[in-house]
Amino acid sequence: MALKNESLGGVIRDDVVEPVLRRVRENLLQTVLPITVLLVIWGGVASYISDPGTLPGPLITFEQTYYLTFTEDPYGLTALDHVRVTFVRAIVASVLVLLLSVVFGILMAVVKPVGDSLVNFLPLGMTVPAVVIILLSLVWFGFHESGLIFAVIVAATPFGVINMWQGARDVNIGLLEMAHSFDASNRMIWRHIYIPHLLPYLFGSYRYILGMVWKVTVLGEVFGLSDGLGAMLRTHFQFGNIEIVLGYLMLFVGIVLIIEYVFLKPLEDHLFRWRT
Amino acid sequence: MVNRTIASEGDDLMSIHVTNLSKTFTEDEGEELVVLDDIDVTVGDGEFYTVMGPSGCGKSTLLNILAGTIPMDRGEIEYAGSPISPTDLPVGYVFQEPRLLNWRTVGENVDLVLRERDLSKSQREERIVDVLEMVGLHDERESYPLRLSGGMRQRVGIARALAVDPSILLMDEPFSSLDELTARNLRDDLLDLWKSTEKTIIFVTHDISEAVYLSESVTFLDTRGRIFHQSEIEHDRPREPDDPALLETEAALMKTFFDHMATIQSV
Repeated sequence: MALKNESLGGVIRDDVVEPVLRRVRENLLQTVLPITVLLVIWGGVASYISDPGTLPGPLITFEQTYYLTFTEDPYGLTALDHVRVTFVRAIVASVLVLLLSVVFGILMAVVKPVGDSLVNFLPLGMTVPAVVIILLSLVWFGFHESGLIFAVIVAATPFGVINMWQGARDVNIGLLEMAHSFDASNRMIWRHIYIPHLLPYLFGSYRYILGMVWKVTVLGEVFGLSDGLGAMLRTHFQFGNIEIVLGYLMLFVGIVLIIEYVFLKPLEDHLFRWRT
Repeated sequence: MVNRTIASEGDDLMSIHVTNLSKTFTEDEGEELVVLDDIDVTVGDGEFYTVMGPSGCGKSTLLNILAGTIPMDRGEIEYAGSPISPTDLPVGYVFQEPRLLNWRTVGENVDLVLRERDLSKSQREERIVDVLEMVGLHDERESYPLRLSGGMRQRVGIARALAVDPSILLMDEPFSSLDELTARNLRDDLLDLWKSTEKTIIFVTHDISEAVYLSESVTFLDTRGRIFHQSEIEHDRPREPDDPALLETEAALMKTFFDHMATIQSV
């Protein structure tokens, strides 16, 4: 670590790969063991059923994932391309959801009438089944990306808003009093009290939002789009290619885990290093 | 007291005079709650002045008014011989809980109250080093508050208040949530600080032994928001916490307190 390689590859190795490997080493029991157990059970059940059309084993599935990742379909797209399409939709949607959540969450906490009226509508938004939102939105906005993203925003925003609202209400009055007694300006109070206080809620909300957004995006693709992970799942499910469905799923799970462990977790550890 | 000519008394040049101070809170149900009812307070320059009283009697409200965080309904404050708005009083505030920003290091917590003052970077740096040294925490500058003990966190709170170099230190039950052993250490350190910095301290507590051990003067507030007794504590320093003479003073003050509470409750 002392001699840091300054090339891009070196930076990635030092700043991304190293921490991830360290985390894996430190949490060997929590990471490798459960995955191994899961794979063993999966393999056991698959060989007991011994019907790859119902439950292909892990080996066939991973072979399939490898094959799908590097082979183009009739439209010239690999599985990686489809997952990328889904990924971009999910990121765009989740960032929009997060922005809306922050704005409305804070607004609800700061402007009492807004809070009082929205609080009655949020549970409504949270209980309408995502499927209904997706179908209606696709009918209204057409069976393409914009309809899908609209549906995702409608389905996920209420959850994010609730979370941010609670965070904004939880700000420690004592700290604000302290700041005032030392004549701190509003700018100081936002920068050093409100924002650092809200940051953990922002992270928590984003995790939650992202989880919702993945599901709703894929579901929307299943119902109404011709590309993306959901569309592929639909096509291959219709033809009864369960091993391809699972192959796609594994690729998807892999990418979600990479996002979590390579981006979100290290960023979180760095931002919240003040916690014991 | 009324005829006192402040300017002629060299000693009292920087004293604080509060007159006819009143504060009423309106509760959610519309009920009016009088927390400070026409009180007069005089604190001499460099005095260790303690306000004693039961919970909910308006002790903290008095400090908050002096700190300029809540407005008073009525009253005048005079400092160094001229009327002053409480927001302009040169105070540093130490709270019951440390009220630190847990996401900033000890040094950054102190620096925070210095940033918007007219100080150069090196002056700020000097202050931070100074005050952390004063409270014995120079080694913890880079630590985050949550890694410190309760006593150490309270020391950071004191360092932060000292950093703005106030003439007046406001302290709101600063040791009441610490264990007795830690509290004793901090009280002694506070007395050393008081002696070496010659700051005026306005200290609020509900602990009579603490009041008698620390103060030069103790003022009693009751639950109606009125001052009903004031006492000079004339024991020699350094004092011993368990000195029988101090205990006697405590007992006498407690009797005054309970007698008074009985009379206002029987009315």
